Amino acid sequence: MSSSSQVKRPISGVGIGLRSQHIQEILTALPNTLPNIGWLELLADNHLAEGGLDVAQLEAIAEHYPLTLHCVGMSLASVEPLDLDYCQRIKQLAKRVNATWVSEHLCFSAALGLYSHDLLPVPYNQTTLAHCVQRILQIQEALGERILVENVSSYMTFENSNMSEIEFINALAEQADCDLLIDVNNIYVNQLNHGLDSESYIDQLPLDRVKEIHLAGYQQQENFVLDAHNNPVSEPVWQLYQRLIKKRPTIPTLIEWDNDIPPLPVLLAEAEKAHQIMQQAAR
Amino acid sequence: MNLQALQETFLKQLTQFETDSAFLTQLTPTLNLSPAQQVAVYQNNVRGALQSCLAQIYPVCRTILGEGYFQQLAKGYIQTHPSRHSNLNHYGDEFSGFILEQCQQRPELTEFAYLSDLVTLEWRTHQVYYAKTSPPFNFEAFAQLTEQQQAQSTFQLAPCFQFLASDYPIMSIWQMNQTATKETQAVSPNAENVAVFRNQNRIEVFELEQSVLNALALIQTGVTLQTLVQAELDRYLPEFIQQGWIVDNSSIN
Repeated sequence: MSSSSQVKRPISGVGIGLRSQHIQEILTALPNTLPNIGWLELLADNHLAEGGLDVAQLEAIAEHYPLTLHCVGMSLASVEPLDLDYCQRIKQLAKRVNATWVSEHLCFSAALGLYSHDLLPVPYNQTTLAHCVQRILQIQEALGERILVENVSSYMTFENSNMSEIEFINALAEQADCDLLIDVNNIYVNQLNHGLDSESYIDQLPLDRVKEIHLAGYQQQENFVLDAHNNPVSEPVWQLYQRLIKKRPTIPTLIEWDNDIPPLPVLLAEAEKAHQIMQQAAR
Repeated sequence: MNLQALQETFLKQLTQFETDSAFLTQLTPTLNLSPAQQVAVYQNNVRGALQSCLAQIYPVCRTILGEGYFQQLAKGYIQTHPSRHSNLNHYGDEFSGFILEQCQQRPELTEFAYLSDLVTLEWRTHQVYYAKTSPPFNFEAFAQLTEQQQAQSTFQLAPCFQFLASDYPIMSIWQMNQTATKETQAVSPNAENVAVFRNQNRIEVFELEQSVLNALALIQTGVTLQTLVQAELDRYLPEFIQQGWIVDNSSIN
């Protein structure tokens, strides 16, 4: 694998998703460290250009913080041929910034050469499972490393789904031998939209495979909740996080905020809150 | 419907913004959403992502048209231009042509004839931001060529350098819309040529003289040094190279 010669930097504690609005501020703060930030996560798809300002900035940031890559473009559950060029570019980016790991969502985003740039759900059944397992194995082969697969929020239910989400994810992780990124907000959004039992979901997670947790805020719509990532983490999600982190207080946790992005101190305050909960869980 | 048909039908609905009745039969209601409403949620998500992508690339166009009108045009563009690239940074490349059509078709846009050129300028600024960094011009290699070889040499413009000739004062209009407190003085009606260049860690937008633009346009077509000399435009080369607008001589014959 391309990064085999690099020593992967350990990820621990609480991190934040690095967004373009904050890059300059973080660069200005260097070489001083920002408080309570264990690492930064890049939205990999925003940084795939071969050059440009982003590349120089990322390389500067990577010297000071461990980085992880979070992807949206692998279209992991898609039936279209895997975009090996995309995987190659992710691999190159991972090498360039010495990313500790790469994660992707359990969804598809493209078909017929058309791209949704959204995380589209698939039915949870044995056919989809077999397809996703084969696909993840192919991705892991292309990247030369195990990936983390994230559970997604969904606003759709399929007639031919006959497995629960947690059953599907557990079987997937086992059969594809991949790791998991568990987004607690997504579990809660699915509870509100689909009636899923969040606590039971968390209790069934294979903790040895859960390498990262995401926390984010949702937005209440007229008759459903949208995983908008544009709000502080909600109280019920903090409670579910407590439940999960108590089981394994060392799982690195990330504050994700993608829309209506607030000033950096707001994100840092959310990170500090997660840090406190993590500390309490470890006692 | 098998997995492939399901995904293809789902995607079509998200790019054509129509609902497929056969697809709806594959869905069951969620706690609060009917099958049609479920599809609508994803259609809104897709539209919203592309709208904010366009808004981010074209801030001056957005300021000039106003948020509401810009979003209305953006929706029209999205309706007819689905994303065909996995990287969202590629989306919006045909917005200039779309705006030109809109300016010709919509009476309320007749006074915005310059807008298409301004949109091109914003697209090129976007491209320059992400453009590859190329190695500088190789004087040493050039000096080792025979006189004949030098005369047949062609030159490469830097990917992080773009220029644009316009019949309108787009540089002035662009500049006027860079600050929150817009100056309201009338813009001169003169045509303006504009260049965008990523210089170290800064994006610079500046006006070009006509003769400079002529030289750049000729270089871009891949003419030889001999042709530039004949056109009496070779005198600009040292400055172009020094500025970093010409980056390498790998295409020397």
